[in-house]
Amino acid sequence: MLKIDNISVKIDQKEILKGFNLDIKLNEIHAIMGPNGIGKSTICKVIMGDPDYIVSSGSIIYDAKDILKMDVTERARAGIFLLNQSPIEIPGVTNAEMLRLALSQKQGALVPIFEFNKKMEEICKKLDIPKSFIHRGINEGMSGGERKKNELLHLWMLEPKFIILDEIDSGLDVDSLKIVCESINEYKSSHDCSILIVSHHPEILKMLKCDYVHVLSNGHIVQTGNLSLAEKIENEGYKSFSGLNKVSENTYEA
Amino acid sequence: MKHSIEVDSIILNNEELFIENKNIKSIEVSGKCILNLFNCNIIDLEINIQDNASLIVNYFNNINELNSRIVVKANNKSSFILNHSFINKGKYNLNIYTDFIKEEANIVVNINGINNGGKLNADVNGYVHTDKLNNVLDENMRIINLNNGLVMSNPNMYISTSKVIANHNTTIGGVRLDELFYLMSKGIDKKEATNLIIKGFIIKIIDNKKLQNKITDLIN
Repeated sequence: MLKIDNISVKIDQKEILKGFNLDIKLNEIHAIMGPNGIGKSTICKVIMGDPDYIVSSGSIIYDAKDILKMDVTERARAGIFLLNQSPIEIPGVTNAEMLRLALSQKQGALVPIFEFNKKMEEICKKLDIPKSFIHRGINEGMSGGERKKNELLHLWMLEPKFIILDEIDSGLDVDSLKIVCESINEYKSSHDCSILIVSHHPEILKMLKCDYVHVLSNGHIVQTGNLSLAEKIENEGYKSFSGLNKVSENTYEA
Repeated sequence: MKHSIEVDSIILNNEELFIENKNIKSIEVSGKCILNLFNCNIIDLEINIQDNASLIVNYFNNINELNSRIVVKANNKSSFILNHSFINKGKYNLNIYTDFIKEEANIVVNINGINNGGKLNADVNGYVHTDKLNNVLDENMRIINLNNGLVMSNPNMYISTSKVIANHNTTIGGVRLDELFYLMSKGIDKKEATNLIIKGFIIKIIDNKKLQNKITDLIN
């Protein structure tokens, strides 16, 4: 579904990723872990097409298309969805008008308002968020947890195929985290999609039933494993994961 | 409750009014009042807020050419909030003068404007005199400047007492890139995302649903 081949990425002349590779197949869930400031969020933004990040070499193929030739809007319409660590607020622009416009543009025709409102209300109920969110400014005045749930409202309405979750657990209490993970699991079980998660915490990776865990260091992946790798990191930290040698595709050992 | 709307003056007493397409020359305020103005070409307006009275003005204008002067006089323990948003495509000279007549009054001026290739000259002048104590003055101006428009902005404060709180800030720039990226990442093209951001910017300081809807219809 998504194949990142040997990309190097810079921001403000500083190289963040170098020789970075990642291969995510349909219906797989991958996680990237690493110390703060190592470039995990950079991967998320590069896939989404943030123009601040310059891809100086390599390729990103998504559904057989070279997405480096596509702008942010085109990538979103192709099914890529980014749930940011700290979603911004846009007062004066409601969830309803933003989502209805996005869907209308994707479909090439104005989405009928009755069905649209009905679906929004159903999803609000599912996510346990007030219906008032529908006509509220995007993330306006919302707590961190409410913003994450609001972004899930967008996810369910837009129905993406490749979901990027950038530290979705930050700012969430235990109960909110459970609701968020249940919602994502429900979406995954009812839609063919792949997920890329950036997180520091193995707990959320377990809740989302992650298939692969990758460790990022020195601008590229240095080790890949399963959930036991995440537990090892939680117990031992990241010290043992720098400068390792590549043994085979997606696997690095000392 | 008494009020009267004459050709060009208003007396407000504990009420809320919605006015469109009128030029108003003077407003006298007592009690708690709200005034919502849509496309009123204010040329020379004087507002007098009596002791203990308060007035919130939500004011939107779509401008081709306008020279506008607004004078606000705040009496003892009074309150005035101006929420003024506009879209200027031509030439807009805006001069606001706020004067604390007595003490313990609050004046807040919020301006969110789109200058779309036009020429904007916006002066906000706040006066607090020596013997007028414990007043609060807050001036906030945000301008999105598009299509190489020209903006000259002067947030002026003339203060001659130490017993005052006075703030001003002015921001002039383009559309926020993080907002643009966010909306495009939902699948909205750049042009429509820009229009949405502009619409949100204009209405977010307007605290009246009817006025917000009128502005949205106009922009759409």
